[in-house]
Amino acid sequence: MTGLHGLHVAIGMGLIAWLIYATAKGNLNSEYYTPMEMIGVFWHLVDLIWIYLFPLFYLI
Amino acid sequence: MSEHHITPLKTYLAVAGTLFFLTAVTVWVSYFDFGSFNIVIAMGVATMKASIVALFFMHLLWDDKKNLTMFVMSLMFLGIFITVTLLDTGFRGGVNSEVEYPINNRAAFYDSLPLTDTHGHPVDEHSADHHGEDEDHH
Repeated sequence: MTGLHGLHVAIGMGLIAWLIYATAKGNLNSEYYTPMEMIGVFWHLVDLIWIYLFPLFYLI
Repeated sequence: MSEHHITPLKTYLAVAGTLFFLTAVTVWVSYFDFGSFNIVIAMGVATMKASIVALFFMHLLWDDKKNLTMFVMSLMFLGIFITVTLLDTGFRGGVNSEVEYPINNRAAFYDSLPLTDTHGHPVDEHSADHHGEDEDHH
C-alpha cells in the first residue's frame, strides 16, 4: 500500500517535472496550456483530500 | 475554461497564508473538547479550506459557473448520504434497545472474548447461545 502510494506520488512529480520542462522549452504557452490546466487541477485534488484527511487522521 | 485567466502571485500568497492560518486553527481547536461537535468543527474548518482551494487553486471562481454548480451539487449529495448513514449508525438502538450477540457463536474469535452488549456490559452467555441457535435453524 505504501509502495503503491509512493509510485503514485512519483508519477505526479514526474508529470509536474515534465510541465516545468515543457514550459521552459516553450511548448506550453498562452496558445496551448491544456496539460498545465489538467495536471494542475488534478494535483490540487491532493490538497482537497488531505485537507480532510489531516484532521481525521491526526486530530480526532 | 474558454477564458484565459492568470491569477496574480499576490493572490496565491494570500490564499496560501489563509490556508496555513486555518491549519493552525484546526490544530488549536483540537485541544478543546466539544464532545460530538469535535468532528463537526474540524470538518467545518476543513470545508472552508477546501472551498478556498477549489475557488482559487482550481480556478472555479473564474470558470464557467456550470462547473461550480456541478461541484457544489455533488458535495451536497455526498453530505446528504453521509448524514443519513450517520443517523443510522449513531442512533441505532435508540428506539428499541438491542443486545449484541455473535452471528456465529461457534467462531473461534469469541473463545477469547467475554460477550458484551452495546454498552460494554457483560452478557449472560446462555441467553446469547440460545439466540444463536434460533438463528441457525432458519
